[in-house]
Amino acid sequence: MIQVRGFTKRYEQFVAVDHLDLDIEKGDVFGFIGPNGAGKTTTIRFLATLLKPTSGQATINGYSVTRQIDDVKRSIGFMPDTFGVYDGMKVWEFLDFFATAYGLPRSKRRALIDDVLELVDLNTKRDTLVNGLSRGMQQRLCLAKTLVHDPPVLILDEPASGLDPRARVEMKALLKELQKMGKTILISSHILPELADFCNKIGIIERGKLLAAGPVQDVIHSIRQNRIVEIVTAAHSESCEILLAHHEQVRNLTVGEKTFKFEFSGNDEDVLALHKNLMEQGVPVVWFNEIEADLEEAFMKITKGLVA
Amino acid sequence: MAEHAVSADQTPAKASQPDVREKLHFGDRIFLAIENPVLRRELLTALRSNKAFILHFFFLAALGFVVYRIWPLDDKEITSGDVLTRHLFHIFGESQLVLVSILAPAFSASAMTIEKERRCMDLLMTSPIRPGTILFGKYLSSVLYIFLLVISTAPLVSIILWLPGLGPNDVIGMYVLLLSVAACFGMIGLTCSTFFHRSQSSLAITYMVVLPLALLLLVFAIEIDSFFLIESAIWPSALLLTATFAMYRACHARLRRPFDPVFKSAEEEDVATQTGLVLVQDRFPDNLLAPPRSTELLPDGVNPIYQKEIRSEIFGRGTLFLRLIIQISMFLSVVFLTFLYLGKEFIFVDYLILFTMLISPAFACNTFTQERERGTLDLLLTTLVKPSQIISGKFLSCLRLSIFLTGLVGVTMCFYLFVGQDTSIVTRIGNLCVYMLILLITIVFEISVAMFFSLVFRSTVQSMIGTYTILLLLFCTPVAAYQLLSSVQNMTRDQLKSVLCWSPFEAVYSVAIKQVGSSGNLTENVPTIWPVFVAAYFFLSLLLMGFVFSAFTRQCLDSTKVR
Repeated sequence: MIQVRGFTKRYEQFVAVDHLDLDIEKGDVFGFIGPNGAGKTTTIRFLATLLKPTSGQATINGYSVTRQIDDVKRSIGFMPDTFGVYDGMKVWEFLDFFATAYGLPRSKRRALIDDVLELVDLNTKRDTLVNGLSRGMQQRLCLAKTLVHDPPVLILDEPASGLDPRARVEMKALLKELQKMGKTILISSHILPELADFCNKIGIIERGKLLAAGPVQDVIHSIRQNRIVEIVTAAHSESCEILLAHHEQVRNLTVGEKTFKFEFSGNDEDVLALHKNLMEQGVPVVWFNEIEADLEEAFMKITKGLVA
Repeated sequence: MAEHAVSADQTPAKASQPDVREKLHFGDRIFLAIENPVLRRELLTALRSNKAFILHFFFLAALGFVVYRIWPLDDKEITSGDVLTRHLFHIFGESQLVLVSILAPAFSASAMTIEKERRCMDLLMTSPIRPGTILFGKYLSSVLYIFLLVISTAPLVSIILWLPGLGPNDVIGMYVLLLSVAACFGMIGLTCSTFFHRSQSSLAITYMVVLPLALLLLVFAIEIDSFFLIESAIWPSALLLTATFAMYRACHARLRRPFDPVFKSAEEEDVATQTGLVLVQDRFPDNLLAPPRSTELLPDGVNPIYQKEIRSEIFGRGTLFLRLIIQISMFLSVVFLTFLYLGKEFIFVDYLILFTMLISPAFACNTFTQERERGTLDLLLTTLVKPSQIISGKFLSCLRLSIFLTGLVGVTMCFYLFVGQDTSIVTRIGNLCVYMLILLITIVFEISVAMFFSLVFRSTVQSMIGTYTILLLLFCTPVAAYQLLSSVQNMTRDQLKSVLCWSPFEAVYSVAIKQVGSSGNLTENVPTIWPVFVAAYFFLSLLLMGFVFSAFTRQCLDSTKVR
């Protein structure tokens, strides 16, 4: 659905994005993550037809981003990271304005406006002036605006930034709903646990280069090659400490009063062997667990906090 | 925000006076008073760039040029008496008066609003800096530079003092008056900036108040020979300084109450209701300004940008601002109406041109900057709306607004058809049509200039100041040049027609004088310059709009330049 090939954006000597390749399939929810200044917004603005590339190409829904601009605009719903609203308009007027701007006929507009208001849960605010809405509601209104022409692709730049926890949860629920509707979503965010929750693919970008991309778990595992294992014993066990300290597949062992945490480079069979070994040594194991890798950890590991 | 979200039952003093201020040591207070941090920051940022130097250079160069052009060429003229000297001195003083009147509001009218727009007002108000210190810092930083400009002209005046006929009383009087004018006009700007929430509104209202006052002072300066003598100048100066003090007190009182952006619209509406300045969208004649709010969806095939501008953006700008403009202009138009009965209808038309100079840029100079500043441009650019629709929608809505407001103020011009015995009704109808054409072309050009600056500048304030500067230079410089060259070098309008045709005031005069001349008042041959004016500004507007269209289309494809 979205294909980017060799996208480069250069501002004189400054390279914002450097030869970026990206593939997003139909129905994917792609989380685009990276530190501030990494090149996320530049890429997103390029895909939204707001930026000319220095080099490279991209297609959305089969249309070229640089040559078939109107077709691309019809195919995408874009929500920028910072956006404003027209103060003097009512909620329905705001949506009617954008629906007209997308060339939707009047006969279809009323039903469409009602539908998107229902979807973003703003139907009770239909006649409220836009400047009377809270920040969270304005964010949802902007999302409604991106949906008003029913685009197959949504490009959302930091849609949850500046929202309170409740509004963030509501926004997340809304995005899951859109995912169920089969929309292809490209979303950038800094709230990584939430992204991991509903994205099936992610891409990590830093200093304008794409460091990793693919299904969430694949990316995480490719970054964290070792498992993290945690063992809790009933009492402090010196034999456990000696065994782990001398095990050739154990790295970075951290010993607590009754806990042992370490990186383990073996496969599933090696884990079983270790567990069996501990039992044979009479270690009073009450908890043997592999800690699930998360996106935040992977992100911290792969990025260096540098900007382009 | 939280610091300012005070309940209504809190006293204003409590709301804006955090406890920390009460705990300030005496030494800290002295430090804050002497080392005013607001003043330091403002002066540092203002004088750090080379803009201040460039402006200073051009200010002195313009005045130097005036002195150079009118300096007597032979000794005979110098010794021939004090008439020439006084003439020279008056032109010098009047030129400074005009320049100070233009510059003083430009420095102060956005001093506070810019803090509100950047959301820095809360930071200032919650710091230990007292409201009085903020106000004093803002005020001094706005007027100090103007004071510097005025005082730095002293060497030029000292050259004029070599000529016979001038005494220290004249020079002291002129400087007292000019500094008082700068102080008062700067304070008017700061007052508007304190009470309004948008720089655009503040600037427009400031100029609307300042320009008629400046005109009045200029008329006095031209008509009264001893106007700059200290004995005469002391009275208007005292009046101006009293008004300055009163405005300062009002601003100080306002600053002691919190500024809450959430309630700013409500606050403006409250002021509007209390003063009877309410614009009702569904009522005649207010609904001519913009159509009443519709409950129906937009029709198919309309330009959505035009509809948006006319239905919501006009009222989004604040009805108080609009209503104030209408009220002030209507009041002033009654004063200028007397010129119709005196057979000098061109003065009334000049007033209308001055009105359009204020009003049209006020609405058009934020065409693109406002969309950028509030972050709606990206939303627009990702729709299927064409750049041409955006430009034409915005242009037409500004044109409609300017024509409506000018029509409202100028509707009494119809009396012109029934007064004046010197000309036939047919001639008067013809003249009226030409006046309307000149007004229309002037408005079109003003909007084009404002849209041009709105595209090339980043902020509305920059765009507005740029537009006003260019319009004042283009429209007023030919008049000033003629006044100067005709009095000093006896040049005629005919000799200067290539310069005069750039001013709408002269174009209007060239229409009027044809028929006034027949009554015997004509003392020189006045060339018919209005067709040249109309053609020149029509093509100039086309050129500007062509540039705006091509540059905006390019920016739509690569909006990093826009941001």
